[in-house]
Amino acid sequence: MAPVVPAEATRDRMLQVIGLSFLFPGLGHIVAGARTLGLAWMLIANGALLAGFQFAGYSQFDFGFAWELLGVLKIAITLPESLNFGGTVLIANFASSVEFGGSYAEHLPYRQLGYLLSGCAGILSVASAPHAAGLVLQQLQPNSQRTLHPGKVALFAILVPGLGHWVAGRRFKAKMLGITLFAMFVLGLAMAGFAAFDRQRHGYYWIGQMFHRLPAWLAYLPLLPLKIGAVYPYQDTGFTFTSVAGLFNIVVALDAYHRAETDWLTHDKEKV
Amino acid sequence: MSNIFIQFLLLIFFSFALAAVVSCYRDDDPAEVLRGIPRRMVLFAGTVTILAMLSYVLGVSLLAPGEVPQ
Repeated sequence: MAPVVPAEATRDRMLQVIGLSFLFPGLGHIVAGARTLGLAWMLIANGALLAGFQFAGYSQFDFGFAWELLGVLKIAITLPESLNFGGTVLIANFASSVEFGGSYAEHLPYRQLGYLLSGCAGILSVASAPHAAGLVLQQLQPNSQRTLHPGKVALFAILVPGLGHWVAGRRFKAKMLGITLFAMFVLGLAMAGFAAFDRQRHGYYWIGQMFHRLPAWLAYLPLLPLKIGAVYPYQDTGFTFTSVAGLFNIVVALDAYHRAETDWLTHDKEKV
Repeated sequence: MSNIFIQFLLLIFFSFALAAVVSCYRDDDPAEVLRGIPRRMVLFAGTVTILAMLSYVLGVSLLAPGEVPQ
């Protein structure tokens, strides 16, 4: 069966808003005509990003890379914050990590809250891209039979693993993916004594873990007091499980968007 | 010390999760998803097991450290 895709003009417009949203969250919405929503998204995503950086003394930059462009502009990449590319670059050009000033991030009492806030802000920023694309699809190729455009489905999928498929009417996939990946995340945490989820100790694994989204975000601060007190036999497997479960969730969210888009374009009946 | 059987069980679980994600991405019909999971699971777990066995055999044969000459 030939893949169902939006018309060329719609695709061009969708790509435009996706690019703008990635550059600066909310910009895609504004260009698509949803000014209030765009401004709200811009304020919340950038506000949370800035607050997160502030709480953590901008030490998020210590986990990434930076390049000076022609000695004028500093391009900083640190994940998942850089999913709000414009916001992160802007902050990087006005502030630098407390560690460059001789201080230690460990001395900042709310640094972990800062990591959580800025990480969530990065992921919520990139969520504006599929949402704006869905909005464009709704405007240019309306479907009177459906209320949830693919952008809304993607937003649900990005917030809670499996929820996107659930609201798109794919209950089987929602249960299969939601339960499997949640079990993988919890099993991974258990194998490392529930102490595997900490940016300062396992910065690279943390990127993947943050993509487990809401369940992981809610568990982050309560799990922090737990420390690895011994060498657990399967702790490395635990780190891998938690991180990969998060990365699998990106594929799940992409699938939710893609299926919802196909439904939108084919006027399909609800799936089971 | 880790146990080889538990490692194998963990590999099976990981393979199942990977197969579930890939099958759900490739297919939309629940019956097709269920049909694709065992095939992809065996393919991944089998490949990893063969690579592990190969590594072990090489480790105790060709790549094994020899005796230090006196």
